Amino acid sequence: MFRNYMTIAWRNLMRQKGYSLLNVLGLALGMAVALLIFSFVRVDLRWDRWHDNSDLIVRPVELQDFGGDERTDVAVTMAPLGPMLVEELPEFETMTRVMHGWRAPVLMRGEKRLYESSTAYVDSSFFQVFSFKLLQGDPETALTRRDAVVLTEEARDRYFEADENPIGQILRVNNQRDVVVTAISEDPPPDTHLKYAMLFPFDAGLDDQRENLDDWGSNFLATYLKLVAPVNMDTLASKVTEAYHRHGDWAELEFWVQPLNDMHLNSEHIEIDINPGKSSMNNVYALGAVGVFILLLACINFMNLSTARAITRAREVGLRKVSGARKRELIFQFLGESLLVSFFAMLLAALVVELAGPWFADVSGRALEFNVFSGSFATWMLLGLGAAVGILAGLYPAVVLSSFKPVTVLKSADSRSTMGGGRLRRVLVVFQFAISIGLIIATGVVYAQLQYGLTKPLGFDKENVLVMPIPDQGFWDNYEDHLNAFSKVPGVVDYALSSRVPSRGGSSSGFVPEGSDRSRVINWNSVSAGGDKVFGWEVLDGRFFDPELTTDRWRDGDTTGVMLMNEAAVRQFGWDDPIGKTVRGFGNITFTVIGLIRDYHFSSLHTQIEPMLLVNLGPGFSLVSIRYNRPDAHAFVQELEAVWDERFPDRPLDYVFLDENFDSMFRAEERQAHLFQAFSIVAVLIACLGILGLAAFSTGRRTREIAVRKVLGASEGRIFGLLTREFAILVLLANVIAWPATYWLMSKWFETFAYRAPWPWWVFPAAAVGTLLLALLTVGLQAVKAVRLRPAMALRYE
Amino acid sequence: MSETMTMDSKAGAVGLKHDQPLIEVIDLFKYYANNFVKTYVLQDVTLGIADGEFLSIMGPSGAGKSTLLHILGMLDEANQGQYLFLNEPVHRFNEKRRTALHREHVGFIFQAYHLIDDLTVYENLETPLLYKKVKSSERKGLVNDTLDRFNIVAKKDLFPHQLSGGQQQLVAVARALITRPKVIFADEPTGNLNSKQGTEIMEMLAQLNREEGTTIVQVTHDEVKARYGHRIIHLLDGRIERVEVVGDKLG
Repeated sequence: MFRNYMTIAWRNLMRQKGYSLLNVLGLALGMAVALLIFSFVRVDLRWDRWHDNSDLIVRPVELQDFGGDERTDVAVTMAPLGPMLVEELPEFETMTRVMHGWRAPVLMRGEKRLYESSTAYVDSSFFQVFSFKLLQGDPETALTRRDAVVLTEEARDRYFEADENPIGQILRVNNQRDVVVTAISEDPPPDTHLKYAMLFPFDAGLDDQRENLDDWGSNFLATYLKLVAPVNMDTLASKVTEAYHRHGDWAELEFWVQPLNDMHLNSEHIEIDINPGKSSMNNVYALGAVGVFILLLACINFMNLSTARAITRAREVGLRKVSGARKRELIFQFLGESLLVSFFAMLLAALVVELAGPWFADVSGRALEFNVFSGSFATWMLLGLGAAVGILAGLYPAVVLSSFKPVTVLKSADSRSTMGGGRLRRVLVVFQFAISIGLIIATGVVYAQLQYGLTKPLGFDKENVLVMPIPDQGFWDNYEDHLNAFSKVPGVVDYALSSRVPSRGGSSSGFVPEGSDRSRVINWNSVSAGGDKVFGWEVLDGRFFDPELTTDRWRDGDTTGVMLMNEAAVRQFGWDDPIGKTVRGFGNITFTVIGLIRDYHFSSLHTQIEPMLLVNLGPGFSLVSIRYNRPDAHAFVQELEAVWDERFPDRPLDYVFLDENFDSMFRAEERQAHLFQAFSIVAVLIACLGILGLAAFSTGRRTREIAVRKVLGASEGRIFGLLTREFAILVLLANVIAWPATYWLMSKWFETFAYRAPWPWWVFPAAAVGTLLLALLTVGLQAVKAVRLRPAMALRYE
Repeated sequence: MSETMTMDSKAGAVGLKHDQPLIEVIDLFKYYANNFVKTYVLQDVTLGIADGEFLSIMGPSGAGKSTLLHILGMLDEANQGQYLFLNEPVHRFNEKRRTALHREHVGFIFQAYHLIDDLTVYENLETPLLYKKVKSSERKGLVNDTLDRFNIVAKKDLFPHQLSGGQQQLVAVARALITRPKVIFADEPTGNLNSKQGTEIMEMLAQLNREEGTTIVQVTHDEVKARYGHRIIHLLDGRIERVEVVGDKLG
């Protein structure tokens, strides 16, 4: 029986090669895209949940409430919080803190000297809280000695040959101290926010900030706690807040507790967060919906083409019923056929995924691997998709076909008489095009915002600035000489020292403005004189730091200093004219405001420009920024490097260009734009495949009508119009539906940006004209064929 | 008048092997309701068909011949009246039971042959056996026997469009017979054939009836072909106008 069905199915496929190809191609595209998207989303849904006790791991988050609408969620904490909580609250079993170094250390072994940018200082219980596996070494003791270091496989391979045993070997840090390799950990998987190449014991990281260890006022590290058993998070939060107030003195501070499982998709509102790669539930829903929609588009094609063709299968159904077929058996037969088609589509989709996988991983910025043929998730997902699509798309045609009455279909002389389903087909075509149009408009909007972000005046000049870190030693002893040497490199216009670059925000601390006794946490950046020229800040009032005035530069022990602030800070303080006013901060230093600078974007366009204070603290500098005016950046870097190597032979030159650094903030948006573009192309393609099939079919069925009309004297143009008009109306209708829906959805998306591009209205008509032209082209090809047919040919065989 | 004639003929000794009725329909009505107007296709049809009988149904276009045949063959339902098949009340059956009865006892032959285009001759013959869930080995035997008997072994791997009309109808007859039905319904089986092919098919049906006792009910336009039957039912406007007993078959 099965063989009989498959024989029929196979011969049917072969007899209608064009139709089968359309079906298989459309389904394969849909399945491939769905697989790519679902694999991507799956990573988000499983992010960090692979830790053995992921449901027991939590982190405290500070809620800093400044009154009014302002509330800031801060997911970095003070150092003593974690140990205190484990000590005082029985709910907690153990904890680990994770602190990232301020500067990338240079690791040395023999001739090898490398910056390690991904290092962390963690408590010895790190491996009891998290489930990163050790390939060598003991998780209990790996981080107990102060001079220990745990390497990942990747880091190990940078310093050791394959046949060496790294355990017990020595590495030198910053040419200052030696550390001993105690363990080798697996590389952190892509789906974790904790990325590291090297782990040092927590103690080792405190060398330059030992005073912070017991400070209940400085937030600078992440704290993770492991619960003994699941508890109510709200109750726990109030206990944590109470415990804090027994030690800390910041009255407004409250805590809430976030489970590790929520960190990836539910941290959007946390402003200060060490959570690389974080996404949001909205992203997951949006992408998932796109995946489902595209799969649906492909299924609709399949259903439409199958039911349209049902007419040609009607006689067979009648005959089989006369031969004793039960309805159920016929449903199985047609389901079998659609499963066969979806099976072929599945094979093709596997091929597409294999080919497009690397491209998708690149565009999506996620190291996804699709080993479709190796029993991985992708394999099962694809098999599941194949079966689901086969059944979903096949069920409707199967039920329609199997319910034909033999008497009707066998008796009627014209087996091609229309047989219903026409209206449903039209509805489905409209639906398909509405989705395609929606995706096209969304793509346009996302691109408009991206373009806006990349070209918006930022309040500073990111072009032609090179940034390099200041070496730890050997710099300050002789810094004027070093800087002088750098400034002699041809093309250097100006240079400045700073603690952060403009595109990366700043540190934040509490400041008290004149006339107030309440402290507010505000971003600050320490910049030397010349910073205005290097970064292109516009001084609106007053003046920038003056290199000639020694009082402009704060030195250890000074109780007064000067500062500049941006417009947002003035607004927050509620001042009219800031010049000459004073602000207290950093313990009890009084700064006099000497200048006002124009607001500049120091973080992504999602957030409002926040208050920013510029100070000039001698000890706080960690970066040298150089403005240059040479077009040959590469040669410039080489000349700079020559000067550097002469002066700092211990460490290689490490540098970034400010514009690259800034543009990387838009990488997420850029990816989103690329993905949307790719998906809308696929959606339009699938929709066009669908109407191509329908058009071919309906034109085929109207061959005789066309012939008769021609005999009666219709012009070719009129016939062309007759055949294409129907589809044109459907596409226009789709536009009418898609426009308001997409407008609403994309307005919501726009709202996530504090700085928005103007609505790109042109994308609406562009999407309409584009889809209409494509549809007309697709249908037109069929129509031209029909129009060209000589009437005698068509009429003879009727 | 038609009624009495029919009742008579039911008992009528027409030289059959078995006398018990295979099919009995009583007061059959079939109509199509359209805009509150009922258009009657069959009215008040009462008819008995004996096991082993060869019955022809004649009448002008639109007389209801095919409709009657479809109802008798359980492809369609009457709106009113009783239908007994082997004393079972088919008119009370749901579609499922009707299909089951149909599958067990009925074979169909059409004017337009109606072979399945995508299947070879062999596979066309096999299809009814598949639906009857006949075992593979037995199926093979049956198909091969039938191919032999109809002398179409050489054609078994050909598709319908590779055969002449007469050959296609031969395959259709073979397909109708392969499940050894009690009764074969033939809807103008020779209508599309030339006279020589038509005669061959009719001879074959007559032989089946004579030698194997298969009951045959045919609809035909052709007076000569009608006379292959024992009786001829003349339909006019949905009613049985008269029943003609074919004389030379009585002998």
